[in-house]
Amino acid sequence: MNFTNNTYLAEQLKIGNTKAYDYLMHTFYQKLCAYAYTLSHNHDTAEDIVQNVFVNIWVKKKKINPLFPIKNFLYKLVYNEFINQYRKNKPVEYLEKKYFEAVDTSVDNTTKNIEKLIKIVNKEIESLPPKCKQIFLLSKKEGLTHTEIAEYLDVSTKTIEGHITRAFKILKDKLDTEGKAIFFLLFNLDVFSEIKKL
Amino acid sequence: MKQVEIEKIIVKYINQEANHKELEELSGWLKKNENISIFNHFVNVEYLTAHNMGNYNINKAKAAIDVKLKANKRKQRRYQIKRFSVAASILILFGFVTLKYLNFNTANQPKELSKKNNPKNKAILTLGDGREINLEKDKNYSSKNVVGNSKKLLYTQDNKTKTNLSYNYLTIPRGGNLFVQLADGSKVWLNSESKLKYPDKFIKGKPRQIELIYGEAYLEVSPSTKHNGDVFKVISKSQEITVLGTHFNIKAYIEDKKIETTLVEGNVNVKKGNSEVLLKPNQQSITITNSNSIKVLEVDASQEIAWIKGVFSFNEESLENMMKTLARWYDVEFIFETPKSKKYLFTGVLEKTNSITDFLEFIKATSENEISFELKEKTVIIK
Repeated sequence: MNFTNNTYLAEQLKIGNTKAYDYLMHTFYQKLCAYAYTLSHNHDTAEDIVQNVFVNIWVKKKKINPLFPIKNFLYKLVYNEFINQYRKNKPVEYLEKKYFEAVDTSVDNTTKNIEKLIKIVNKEIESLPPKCKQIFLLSKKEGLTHTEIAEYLDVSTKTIEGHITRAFKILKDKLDTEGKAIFFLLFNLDVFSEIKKL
Repeated sequence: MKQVEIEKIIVKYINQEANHKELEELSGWLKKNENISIFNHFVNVEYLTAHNMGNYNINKAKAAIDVKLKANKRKQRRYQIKRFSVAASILILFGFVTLKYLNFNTANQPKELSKKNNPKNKAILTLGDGREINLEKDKNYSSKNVVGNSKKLLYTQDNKTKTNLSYNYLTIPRGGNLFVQLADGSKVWLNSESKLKYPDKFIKGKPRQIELIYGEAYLEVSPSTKHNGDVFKVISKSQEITVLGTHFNIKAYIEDKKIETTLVEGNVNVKKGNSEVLLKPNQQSITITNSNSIKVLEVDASQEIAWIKGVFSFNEESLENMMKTLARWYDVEFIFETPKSKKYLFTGVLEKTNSITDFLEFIKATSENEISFELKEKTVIIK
């Protein structure tokens, strides 16, 4: 038995096996932070949310249900923590609702190929045109606002908007084609296994 | 709208840079189903990018989680959370950000105030003939089919058939509360600042009917099956509740302009004008004075009836609503100096025997001194 088995992992978490928690941290911490960041648009907030979730899991470990996928449980807890603690149960407006739904779709669609997709995005960010890459990183990595970047680089906010939109479009188009390729590959593999069975 | 423009707006929205006009444009554009997929692809970029952008250090995180866990343990040792069913003895107030440790010494508080605001049970019973009886502390009251004191009144049904009903009124002032068992065995708990109209007897074959003129009451109605199927009705303002035998709470304070009916068990039918709803346990109906529509919410009913156990229980309640409740119990008025303070949310349980100064200090401490109070005579000024 190892921790990749959901039931085993859940049982070990329930009895307070610290190795199981380590596994949970190493497997999910950064991914959950990325998810929390997508919801909250802030790296510090994201970490705070995810840390609180891990605290709660430990404190309420007896309530873990081995029949329920831990991974889904973690994403749900992050979402709840974000809504309850950071939005104080403010009603969710139409646009936000659409945004949260879009994030959900992304989580669901990428779950199988996440490592590969992260690599693709990373490679594409590296190969963005230099100015475009610099501005994109200042926004996404450093968390600067458009105005702050504009002041820092002494250009107009319109220029910043242009570069960031361009970066998004390049990444989106790459992901569209690569995403299809991955899907196609998986599909082919499935066909192979079907043929073997025959 | 041009594709290029909307793409720019989507990216600005994701980066939280969109202005009001752009937000509206985007909302409108997203109403078309085929556009959702385009939007989703942009959000997907944001989501996947986030996996490369954050400098999330696992070892630092582990240390941070350890610190949070230790704080959590300390908190648990110091405040054992008890549900009010187990007579809550400790105040737990969760602040609006995180739980703060309250280090608060009640011994230093002025004692006079807590005495002055100590609630007295001083209900008034008005009989059918207009006579008024003060239900004073340590005095017993008894009449034909009723015995009682300042805390409770118990009626018994005599078997003589009687066609004329004599209506009594019970007026509970601020700071008071009273339990009354009606002639049919139904139990009614009356909260501060409430008024109930009820007959001293019920007539067989007719609906048993009482009226909550204003205020808050919790009822455990004796089932119709014990009374030849006679239904029980509670009127308050223009709302009518029909009951067959059940437990529920009804809140109809004058200044609220609305009535909240919360079902604990069984079922009740709430009627307002030509609208009707049947409530299930843990549902609450809300009716507004000037409207015939009925709204139904899912709630924790045990929370709503905490008051009959002698505690205040607040669950993410706004300071404004909390102050309304406190004002009724401690018989004070309140003024908000900064309207912003009204919106602070609190969660916690507090025994009603605490003084108002204790309560205010707790709120102050929980808010990390963002909220402070000044008590002048019987007025609380909230800063």
